[in-house]
Amino acid sequence: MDIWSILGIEKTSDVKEIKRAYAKAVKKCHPEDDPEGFMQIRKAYEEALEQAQTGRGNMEFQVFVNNSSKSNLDYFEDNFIETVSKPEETFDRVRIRSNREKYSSKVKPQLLEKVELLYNDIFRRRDVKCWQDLLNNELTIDEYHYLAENAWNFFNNNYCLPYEVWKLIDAEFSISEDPRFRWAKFVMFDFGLPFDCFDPNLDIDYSSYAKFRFNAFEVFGDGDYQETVKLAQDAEKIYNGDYFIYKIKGISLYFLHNYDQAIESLSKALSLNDNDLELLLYRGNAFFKCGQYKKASVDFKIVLKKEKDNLEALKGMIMCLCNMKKYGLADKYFRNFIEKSSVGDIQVNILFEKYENERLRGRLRKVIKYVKDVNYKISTEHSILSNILVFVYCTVLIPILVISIFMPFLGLIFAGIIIAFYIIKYQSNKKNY
Amino acid sequence: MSIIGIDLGTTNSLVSCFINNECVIIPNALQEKLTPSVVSVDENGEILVGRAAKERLITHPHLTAAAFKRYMGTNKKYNLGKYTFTPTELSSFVLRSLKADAEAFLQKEITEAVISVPAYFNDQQRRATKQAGEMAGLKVERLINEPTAAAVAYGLHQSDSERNFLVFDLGGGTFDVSILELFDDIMEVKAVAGDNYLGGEDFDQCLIDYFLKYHKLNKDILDLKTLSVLKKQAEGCKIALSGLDRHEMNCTINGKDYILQITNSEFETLAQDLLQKLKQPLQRAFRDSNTYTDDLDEIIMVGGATKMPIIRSFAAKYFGRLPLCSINPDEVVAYGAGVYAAMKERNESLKETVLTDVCPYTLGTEVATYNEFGEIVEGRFYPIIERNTILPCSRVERFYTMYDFQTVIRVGVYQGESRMVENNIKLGELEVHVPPELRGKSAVDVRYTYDINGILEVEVKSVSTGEVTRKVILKNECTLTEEEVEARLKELAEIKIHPRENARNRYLLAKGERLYEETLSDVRTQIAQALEHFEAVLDRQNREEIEAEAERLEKFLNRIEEWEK
Repeated sequence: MDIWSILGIEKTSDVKEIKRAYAKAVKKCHPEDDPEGFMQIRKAYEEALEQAQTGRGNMEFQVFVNNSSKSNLDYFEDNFIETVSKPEETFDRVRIRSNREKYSSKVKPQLLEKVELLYNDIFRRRDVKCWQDLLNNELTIDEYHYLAENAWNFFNNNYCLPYEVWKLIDAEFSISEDPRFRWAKFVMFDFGLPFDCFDPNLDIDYSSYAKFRFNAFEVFGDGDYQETVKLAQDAEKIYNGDYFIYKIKGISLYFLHNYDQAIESLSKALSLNDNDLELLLYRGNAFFKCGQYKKASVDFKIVLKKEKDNLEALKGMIMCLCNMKKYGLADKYFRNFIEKSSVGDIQVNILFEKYENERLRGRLRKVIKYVKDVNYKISTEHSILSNILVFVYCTVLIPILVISIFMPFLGLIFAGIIIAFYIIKYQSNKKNY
Repeated sequence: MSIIGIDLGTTNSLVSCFINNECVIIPNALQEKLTPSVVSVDENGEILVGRAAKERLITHPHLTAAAFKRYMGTNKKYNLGKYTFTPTELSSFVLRSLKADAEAFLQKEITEAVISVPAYFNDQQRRATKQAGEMAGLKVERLINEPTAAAVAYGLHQSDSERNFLVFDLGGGTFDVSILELFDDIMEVKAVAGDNYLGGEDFDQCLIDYFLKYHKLNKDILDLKTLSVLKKQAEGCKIALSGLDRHEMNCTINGKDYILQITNSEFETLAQDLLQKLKQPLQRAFRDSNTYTDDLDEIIMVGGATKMPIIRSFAAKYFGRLPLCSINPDEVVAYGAGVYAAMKERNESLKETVLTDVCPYTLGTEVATYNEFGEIVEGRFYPIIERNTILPCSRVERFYTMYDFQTVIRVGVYQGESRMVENNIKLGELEVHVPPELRGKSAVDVRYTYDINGILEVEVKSVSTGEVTRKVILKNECTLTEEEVEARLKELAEIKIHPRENARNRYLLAKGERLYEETLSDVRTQIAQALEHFEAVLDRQNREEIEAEAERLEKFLNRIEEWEK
């Protein structure tokens, strides 16, 4: 029997009519009195509803993914089929929501207003408590669901957020697991993009600044240093109180071998934040590349003062000192470096080999003399030792000699042997001298 | 003959009946509608239920049991003096007391009841509830989900064509959400979700914790009695905050008085975590039923805890609209259970309404699958009946052998939502023999049939031989055999239950004792005198005199309680 005849109606997509028919049928087959009959009706009813609703479903489906690209749509559909065909994977199945259109048109503007209000105020945006408050207290359940489903979309476009906020959002919506979300790396790793450098008392368009800065960071991460410098310069025009932008600009310039400008930018960054050792390291290296070893060594020294075993700084220091031919000082840093670095560093090793050769050549005569001295000392020690041996022989053997007088023959022979031995020993000692 | 409706709650229980086309909540011996679900054993080894027992929660915590509904269906033992009871037996005492109230009110014998259970009760807990009914001498015609009962209560008033409801039930110990649809006299439960361990008592606990933290007191060094006093103070404060914006808790610990003032907004901050916990079941119910707040015609508030202003404002904010609370939230479930009992009887006026309920959790079996490397992975859960499927329902799935010449297929029956069977609850197991063949050739059809009373029948049919194995799933460890039930019933019958007509006097004495312990010096002496006088009056057994004295004593005790606060 087909579902429509079980329900006792013609095929229709009118949900109301299906419901009415179902209600009528159920009254004849009470779930208690006739469970079999009821189950049959129920099945027919569910199927009829689904048929009626999927007829409309496709259209609304496109509304959901509205302005996103075709590939997104394809992706979503693939994903949908996959989840349905593998029911053991997840029980929270993705379902096409039949009333999505109605719902999103009402919820979306309210939600966007709330979220954007928060996002656009950079001083609240950077505060994780404000986000917590929004998620916990301000959103209605519908808005929450809408945001949960569209978080990837919203945050793809609004991504200038501190790490703590990302962590909160991810805990709520598992956004980093969504392949449609572009900024998963921001969620997973803390890149240390600071937000606390913004001074609320200045009239500055921090929102666009933050955006420039994020874009600069993004291209910087991709290794496009030229673009980074360009974006950083744009950002700089809006706001010049943030060391971070000078930092990535400086580092980018360094990689572009533009050392003079790199030094300028890094110095600016250092004037805003002298706690960032990375800045000093890059500037030190930049000075080094310019041949300003003295200045470079000063930077490295500051780093080492704050962080005794910073390998990068130790290396820089060694190179500076070698280039300034202060080998004695370099030796100290080198030993420290070898001790702290488990893998070593080719550059430093080559440098030190060179230094060793230099040292050996420079002090060759001294070394030879030193070796001679050592040998002399060793031989002197040897002769003294021999004398002592001879002395011991004498003092021990004299009493034996006295005793042997009482034994004439044996004594004579014994005495002869001892005298002969003494003579041989004496002669050999003499030879040594 | 009437069937009564019973709301067997964690903190309070109610009984109702449908008379003259109207549902009435039946008052207990103290003329109150709420009977605390508390059981106590007194000096004579007699069982006390309700108010009197609740008073003894403070004076005799070791002899009193409360909130045992939370352990329904488990083997937890309550040692009360010389007796040891299971949660089921304790519930049966409450039911017996409610039955007595109904019999006194209706002036006839009652043998059948509809009892409400939280939507999230599993099969085992439902079974235990039914058993409690039987122990109390009630044939339990039907268990009804609490939110369903609430919807029944309201549904009657709105007979419009199509309506959608959300029932927000925050009781003493459980939180239940359900979404229902009513059209053409069909009441359909679309989704249920909830938290078995979240309720009004958690809000009390939250106040207690704050009190202890504020005064830098260590909970571990406080004795049970002090904790009971504190609990009562917290509960009183919570209730008072429903009407007032500011209230105080006070408690004497080791001779020192501690006072704490609290406002509603402070309370809201303290309860923030609990409020957040309410959201998850709500989100799940909305998702499962594909519903948005716009689709809902009403949001019904049920359970005493929803009287708290902080809960109401939470709901209003979260749903973006005002919830409905025109029927007293305490009574809604009992009211609905009473109506449903009448529906069960097919009382003419209600005959037309058909109610369809859902299965509150997913039922499935254990399967092994091949992973992407072709290795066999065991211990996966395969859902057969998914949660929120309309009842009754019957689903069949085919499973194949995994090994060559496998002769036995073991079908484990599990309940839960986890992908791993080990995280779900095992309900039972069936073993069937299949002819030895190459793997994947032998198959069985596993059919799960879940009936409207929440009883699961599993049928395994071998495809090649047509051999059928059936099993009605019972949880062995907790279900007693009929003989055992008989034997236990006999034992329980020997335990005296305090006579109903003395309930008020017993309550007054218990309350007097509590106040005596809570007060000091002059007031204490006064209470002692009053109690002794009352006991003397009771001994004389002059009914009129006793009633007059009871009246006086009650006023006296109330005055002291008011003044003490």
